[in-house]
Amino acid sequence: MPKFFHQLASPPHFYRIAGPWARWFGWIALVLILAGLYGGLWWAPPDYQQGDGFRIIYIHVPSAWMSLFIYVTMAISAGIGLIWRIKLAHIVAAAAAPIGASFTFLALVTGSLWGKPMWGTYWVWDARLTSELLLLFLYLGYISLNRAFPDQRTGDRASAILALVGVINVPIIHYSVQWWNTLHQGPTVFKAGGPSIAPDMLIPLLVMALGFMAYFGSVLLIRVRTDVLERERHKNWAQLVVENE
Amino acid sequence: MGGYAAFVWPAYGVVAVVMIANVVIARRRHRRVLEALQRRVELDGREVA
Repeated sequence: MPKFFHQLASPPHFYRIAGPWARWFGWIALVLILAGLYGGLWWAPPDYQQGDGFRIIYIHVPSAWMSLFIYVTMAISAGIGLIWRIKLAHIVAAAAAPIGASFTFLALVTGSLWGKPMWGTYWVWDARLTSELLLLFLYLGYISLNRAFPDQRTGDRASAILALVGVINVPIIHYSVQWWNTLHQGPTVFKAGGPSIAPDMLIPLLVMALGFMAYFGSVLLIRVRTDVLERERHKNWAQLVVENE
Repeated sequence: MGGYAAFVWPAYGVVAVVMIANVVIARRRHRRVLEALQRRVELDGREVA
């Protein structure tokens, strides 16, 4: 296992294997997302209270899960980069950030479009919505800090510290619906006693979530490959890649 | 969509646009970086010659 990780952290090796992996994840994501769309938009029955309006769940909840999952992934990689000075770890963190920011934005927009018909408002400054908005600002702060220094190593370290400090917001988002009075509903899937949602509605949600996960894997690998190549452009292996591709 | 079409479809639309854009931007950037590095290799080759 240590040998596997050691090899994986080597930029030329990573560049070589990440290409096919990005393609595979891309195809898996496409199949799962199409299946999830079919399941969520046609196969699942309308909700007894929200009618067809509840179907926003199939994009809103996976987007919100991804916004948290990607943040944790980013913070862990940034932390690994900070402690063990592994360049590839910083690259992974920086490549994950824009994808995470995209999903945070989507969670906010789809939530807003769901809130209007159900709560009567697009936005309310309650704990869940405000902490998710803070997550978007953390991502944007990380991205600008990472790019703010002429020496990329300084940017990597400074933004890594921000990413690690910001992790405190992740449990706050998750538990916000229990700690504070909020318009947002409580957890339906990850809760004590198991999910309180009918299997017909739950299965498309899980398929969609897996599809979003594979999508993240695919886009992340593409972005990491580009950054690895750009940062290592003066190395021999990168020159060989450039000449042969 | 039982009266909710004005909310459901825009939500799915935004998600589709942002997710497709992420893939297109990432792939285009990879191609551009490769091309820029290739041009530089060619330039370097000429200088040496």
